[in-house]
Amino acid sequence: MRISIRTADSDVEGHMAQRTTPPEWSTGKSPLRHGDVPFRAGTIMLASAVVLLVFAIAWMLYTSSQEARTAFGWDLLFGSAWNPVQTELNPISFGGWPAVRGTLLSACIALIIAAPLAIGIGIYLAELCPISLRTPLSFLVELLAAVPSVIYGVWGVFVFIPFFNTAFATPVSESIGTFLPWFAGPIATGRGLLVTGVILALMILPTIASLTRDVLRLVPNTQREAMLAIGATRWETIWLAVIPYSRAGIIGAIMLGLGRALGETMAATMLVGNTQRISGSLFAPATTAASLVANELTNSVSSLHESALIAVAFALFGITLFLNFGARLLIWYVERNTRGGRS
Amino acid sequence: MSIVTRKIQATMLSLAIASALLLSACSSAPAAVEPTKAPEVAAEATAVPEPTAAPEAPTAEPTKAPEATATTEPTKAPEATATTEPTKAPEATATMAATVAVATKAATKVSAAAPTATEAAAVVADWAPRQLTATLSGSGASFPNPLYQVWISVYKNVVPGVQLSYSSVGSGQGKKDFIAYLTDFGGTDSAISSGDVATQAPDAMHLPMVMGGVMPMVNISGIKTSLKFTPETIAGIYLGAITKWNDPRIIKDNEGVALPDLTITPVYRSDSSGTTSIFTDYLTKVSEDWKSKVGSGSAVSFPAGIGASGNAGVAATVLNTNGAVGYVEVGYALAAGFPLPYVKNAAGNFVKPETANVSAAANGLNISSDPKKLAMSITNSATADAYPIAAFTYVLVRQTTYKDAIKAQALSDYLYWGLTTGQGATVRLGYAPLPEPMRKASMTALKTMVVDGKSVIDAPVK
Repeated sequence: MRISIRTADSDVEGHMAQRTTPPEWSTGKSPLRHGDVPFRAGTIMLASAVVLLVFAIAWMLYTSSQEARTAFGWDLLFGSAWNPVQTELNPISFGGWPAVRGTLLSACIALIIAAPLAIGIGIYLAELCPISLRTPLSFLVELLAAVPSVIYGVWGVFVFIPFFNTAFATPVSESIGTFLPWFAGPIATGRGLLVTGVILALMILPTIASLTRDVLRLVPNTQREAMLAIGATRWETIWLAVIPYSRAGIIGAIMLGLGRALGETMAATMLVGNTQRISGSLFAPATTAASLVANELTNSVSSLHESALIAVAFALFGITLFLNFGARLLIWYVERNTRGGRS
Repeated sequence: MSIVTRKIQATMLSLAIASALLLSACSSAPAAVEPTKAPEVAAEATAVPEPTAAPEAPTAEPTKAPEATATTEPTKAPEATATTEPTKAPEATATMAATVAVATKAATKVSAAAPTATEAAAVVADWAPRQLTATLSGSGASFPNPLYQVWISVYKNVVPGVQLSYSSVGSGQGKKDFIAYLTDFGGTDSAISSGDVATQAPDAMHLPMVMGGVMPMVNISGIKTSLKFTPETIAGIYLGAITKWNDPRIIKDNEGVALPDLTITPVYRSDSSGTTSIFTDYLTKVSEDWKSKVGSGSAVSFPAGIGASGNAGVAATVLNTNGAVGYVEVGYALAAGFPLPYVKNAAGNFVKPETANVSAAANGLNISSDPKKLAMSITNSATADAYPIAAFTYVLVRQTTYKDAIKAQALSDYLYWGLTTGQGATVRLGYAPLPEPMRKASMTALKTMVVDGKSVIDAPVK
């Protein structure tokens, strides 16, 4: 494997060496140069269309949620009562905290489970896997990413939940759950944040794994060779030379996975239990922001209800944006500290 | 019941629903390609020669094929859909009815118990829809969607020129689409609020089309008998006050049933829906606690239980969970092979949500003579044999502001057909036909529809 890559590298070098005079296109004398201006303008337009679209979505979410935001303010994000219908004892209130909390918790659970597994898969595929197995395995991992989320949901409802209930939830709630409220019973239907998190982990696993593999493949061989030359084992090579080099890329992969987990709607709706109450236990039914909006928006009770749901969507948008921004910062920080070379 | 059996049952339920939907889609496909062939298929199946010979038929009006035969021989052709023999119908209804009958053994039982009076009245001998060419679109409630899809696929054979479509997007969206002139007609389980009617759709009419019941569907392993519920026990379960199946309040009504010490898991609709409106409207009427704590609406804050999306989602969740109870439209529980429960009505009788009892909920109603005021709540009816959790589902139409006369004619023909011939298909799909006074009120309202001051439909009210 290493030999083949080395040949490829030297090939590229040989090719570069042959070019003594710079190519025609790089001197700026080609007649095609005049095409640059319109081409440049065209691509700028396309790129700015994406930016505009993001702003248009944000603006729509902002204006449509105006009514609810003036009525409830920060309660929309941190209030815990969600009651669309006025009664004597319960006034109308739209507190999105159960949904926001559910979104964050289920995505966290998904990441905690998926990230180590996916990185392991990525390392195996990139570094240790025999060539003959690599293509079929990679294909299968990517196929997992192509499975529609509703299928994960159906599988979760009919296969995984019954198994999870008998094999994990019930014994855990009866042992650890007696003193740790996070795992307290009762397990009625098995729907809850933990199950949702596990299924979300399966869904984001292929995204992280295949990106990690790609990132690891990009690590230059010199990095590995230097490590092996000083007598490192395979494991040490990967752990000390390959992974640190590609840390930024792996963090990026995890963040993409997190983005998918935060926004997942269909599978979450089918598995989370859809209830607006906050319970200390991860086995109890809960809700997520995306599933709340999907469930109630089409048939909302009043314009205030609709506006509140759009405000929850706006909050979800904000969370995603904030996390992406955080990921950028993290990547930037990691990259800056890696450049010195830790090997 | 083991997990495996439950899994199989759940799969069968989803398969049954999927196949029903597929069939309705498939059966409409050949009709779309060759609409004129349809009556022949029906005729082949039943050895009724008349409709096959449509163009050369020795009947009075050869150009109006199926309708012409219908006028001379009232038992044949599309109108046969409404009568008691499903095999005589154009193939779409026949297959649909057969599927439902196979998938749900209980459904046939219900249709057998159905009153024949309505079905007989459904055939109007001296009326046939005009052969117009128009495209009509509607959107709204999911509650009557299975029925509307069957109507549309059958109507394609009756009037091939009319392209109908109905998207099941929920009552709320259906009302919004209708108000915004995005659709020609709307479907809804709840009336447009009076304020919205005054400001946004002053000429909107709610025409009751069909009735349906909502029932608690129960899964307790080992118990296959019909449980009895009182308004207090249903409200108690959904309020979280009754948490075990062997609660004395439930046992009191179900002497002789060995109810286990099992936690009750109430299942509700997580998506806002007309079914929830009907159910919470009922609970608001029968329980002070419910009224003060939860209230009624298409989405409310349920104090206990878990949410599942759609009638089918609730049915599947109940199937999967030992000790669960969920409220679903009757047809979905029938499709899953669940026994119909008894619910104590306002008169103090325990009644099952069978067709006759659901229809009875609309008896003795004080029907307004104003065609725009036909929408009304019929839960907790005082009639002795009425099933208490029942409701009308409405089609929204405009009384005076349609611009296109042909379109309005085609729409009114279709709705009139639905109120007559179409009523026959209701029972097999788990709905109940409208009782006579309401059906006539709905037809009378339909006849007030005008375009440029001219009436669009001239049909007998019977």
